[in-house]
Amino acid sequence: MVDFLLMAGLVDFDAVLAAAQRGDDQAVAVLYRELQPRLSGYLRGREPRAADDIEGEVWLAVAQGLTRFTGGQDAFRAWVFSIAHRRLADYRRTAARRATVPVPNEELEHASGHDPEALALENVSSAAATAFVTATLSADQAEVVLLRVIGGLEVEQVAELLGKRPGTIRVLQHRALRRLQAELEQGRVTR
Amino acid sequence: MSRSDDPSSDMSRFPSSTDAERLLSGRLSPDDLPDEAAALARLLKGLEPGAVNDPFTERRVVSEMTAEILRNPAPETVPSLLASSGTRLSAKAGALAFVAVLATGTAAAAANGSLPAGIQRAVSDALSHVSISVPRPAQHRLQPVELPNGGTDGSQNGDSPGGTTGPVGPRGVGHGNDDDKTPRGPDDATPGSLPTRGGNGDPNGPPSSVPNGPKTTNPDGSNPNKGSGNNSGQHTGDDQGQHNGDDNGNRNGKTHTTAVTTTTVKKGIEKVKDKSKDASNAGGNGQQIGNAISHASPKVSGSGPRGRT
Repeated sequence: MVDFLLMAGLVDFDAVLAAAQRGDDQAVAVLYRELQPRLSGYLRGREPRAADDIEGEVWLAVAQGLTRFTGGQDAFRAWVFSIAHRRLADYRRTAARRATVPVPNEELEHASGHDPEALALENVSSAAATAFVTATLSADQAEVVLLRVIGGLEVEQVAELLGKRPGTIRVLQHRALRRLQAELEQGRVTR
Repeated sequence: MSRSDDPSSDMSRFPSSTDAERLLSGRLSPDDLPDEAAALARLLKGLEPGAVNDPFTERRVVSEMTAEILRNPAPETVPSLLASSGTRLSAKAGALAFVAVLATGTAAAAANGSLPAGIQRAVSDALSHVSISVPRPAQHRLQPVELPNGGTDGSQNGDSPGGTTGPVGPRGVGHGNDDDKTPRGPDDATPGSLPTRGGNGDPNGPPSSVPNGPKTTNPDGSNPNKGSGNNSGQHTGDDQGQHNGDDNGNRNGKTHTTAVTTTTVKKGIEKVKDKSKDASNAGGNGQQIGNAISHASPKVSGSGPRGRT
């Protein structure tokens, strides 16, 4: 209940944060519910095979650093996604040292079956949309789009998180949308 | 239908940079766009997060988080301004201390002449403009040595062309022994290079600031091997204080460029002092041993008196 009020701006985020920092499980749950869908969507879009594991590590790191965090709601969201970004990078470094990584069947279906025609329909599932974006765009472009749309971060926050300049992020996101648009048009035309 | 003859090519410029920003920030709805552009808006809308995770996972994660938070209690609240200023002050104090130590150490090294040659030369040149004397790189190894019997290195006294700061070397270890008891001039030592007084218990010669040492009568001033500065730098040959050195003076006038370190010279000085005591005690001939420190400047006068036999 409180989380809906928080989302609607009817509950003060600072009060929720202070309660969570004292170990109030209700307040912790509010913070979790507010960000979990975004975090899960982002991680599944970037690393579907390990999204659940990385997500668990992110929340643990959030809990470990929560008592030292200061800032508002936007800053809190950016902080959580910066942790997620680092955990993702750690995972990828570790995975790169492995010789082989088994790929689940559903991921193979995603990778080979992104269908612009289906995406042109009214209702697009989140998983299908994420798969289409990551399969179409470069890694940098996909990262920016997912952080902006799923993470709900502003250009400046994304720039800080990725260590780039805001102008670079704007160029990346513009090129990414043009490419997506071109892919969608091609699918619509060939339909 | 190929892409090139696509009638919807007007949309090739979509999205603009502004459209992209509006789409990504969710301020542009698919309903606001034509069909050709609505697909992209729907795609981005589809990326947005859906419902919350399952309750079981939520309870597990939240309980783990709460336990972790309780294990990491909030730190003591410190006014942020004070905390940050304290940090800044600490950093400044540390930086100042570091600079002070660095500057002091460098200054001491420069004054001591211990810096590397290039740096020492640069420091010496720079400080010379403000009337601060710092030894140049070569000087700290070849400084004039205060002799135990008061004379300087003798090159001034000898009026020799070898300069006033020639390298010095120990004396009293070479040949030229008169009675095999007192130290002699070194192999390359040039008698007469040190304006020392006799070893008759008067170890204090003229101060080193005296440019020309005491001129004394040369008993056998007709030495053909004498160098050019013999008249001003010759050694005394009085009865009480004879000079040591080469017996025949055949080393006189030769260039000697031996360089020794200050440490070596100091050791030589101490050795001479010891032997001077012995000689004074022996007393028989009162030989002058004060010039046990040789000055190796070239062409010092060689007309010094021989040790009395």
